[in-house]
Amino acid sequence: MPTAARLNQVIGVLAKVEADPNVAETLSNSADACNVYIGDGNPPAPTPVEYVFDGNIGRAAGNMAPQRRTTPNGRFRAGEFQCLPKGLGSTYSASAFPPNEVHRWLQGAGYTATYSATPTPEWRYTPTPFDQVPAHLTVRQFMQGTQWDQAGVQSDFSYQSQGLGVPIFSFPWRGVATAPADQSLPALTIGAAAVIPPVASAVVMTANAVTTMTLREVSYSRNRSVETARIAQNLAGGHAGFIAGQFSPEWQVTVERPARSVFDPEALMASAASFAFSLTYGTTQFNRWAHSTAQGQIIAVQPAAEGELATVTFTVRGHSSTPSANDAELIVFN
Amino acid sequence: MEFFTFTTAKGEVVTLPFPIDLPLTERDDYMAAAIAAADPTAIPATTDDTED
Repeated sequence: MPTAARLNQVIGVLAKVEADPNVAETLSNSADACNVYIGDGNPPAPTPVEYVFDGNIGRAAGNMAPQRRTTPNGRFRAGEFQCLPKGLGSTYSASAFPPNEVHRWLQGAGYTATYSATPTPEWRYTPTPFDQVPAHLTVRQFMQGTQWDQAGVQSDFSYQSQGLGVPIFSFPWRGVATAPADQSLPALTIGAAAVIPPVASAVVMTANAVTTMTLREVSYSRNRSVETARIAQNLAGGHAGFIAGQFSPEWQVTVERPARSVFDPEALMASAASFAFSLTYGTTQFNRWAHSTAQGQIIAVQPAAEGELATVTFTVRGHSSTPSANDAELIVFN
Repeated sequence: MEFFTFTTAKGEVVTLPFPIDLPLTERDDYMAAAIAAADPTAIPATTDDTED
């Protein structure tokens, strides 16, 4: 019996920021590889090719059977890229970035990357102003012996930090796809391969100037909309990409219930208090990252318990300092 | 698009973009030149001792 033609085993991902949004970049197996996280098991199956118009042209008038379909139109794919956040492991510069899976995918999630040599060499990621075109990515997946290409990829962003392991970054994306083609996984050059991502140890959380709370769990979501498809009848293929829009950075945090004299989430919610909130993962320079907002408000509080332990889960939503400032949140890799 | 930021001697924070088609290997030189152009006081003092 012959061997199976295709296996659901090794996968690979390439991604590059497009110089011209929605125009596919030429990808390199060495310069554009991203270290994708698949967990402890086999990777997920590829997501399907989808169409805005599926080709259905209704029923045959004489017998009510389906009419022979026409060609579908407006091809796209949606998926989720996951990675473990880590730093470069050596000094950042204008040309030395966090690894591709962080630096490029954060840009694709609507952040502008800015290098600063002060106070220490660091890359900062802030919401891309709406008078600028947000970054679009060309993404190639190697999965199940197939090459899946898409351009104009934009994404949402979330991460989970549960237990004491490494937080997991997730980027749910959408992009205009080309037809998949046979291609085995080539040799990819993964950047900073020797750097181990920091675990949720010695995490520093500051909320309303309180740093003493015992942190159990963090779940962040940017809640970025990338839904709106550009239907383009005058374009071959019919799909001109997606429009990204509103976002709402929210951290859902579970802590051991502190004394109300220390931190009272119900009171902070009731007074609509705005306070600085930040999380820092990792302690080693060039392999640590911090996510913060200078203006956070508690929008939900849920008392909880873990066995005999009283806990509380509260949700902090970042807002901008003025209607035009792009400072609702800040990610720093330093 | 990627940017770089710096603070001038006057305390002004300046953020400038990297040209999209600039090779990575030329970025550091480009940034140094841009900072020097925006903030002449940041230029390290250079002397030419060959004529002394």
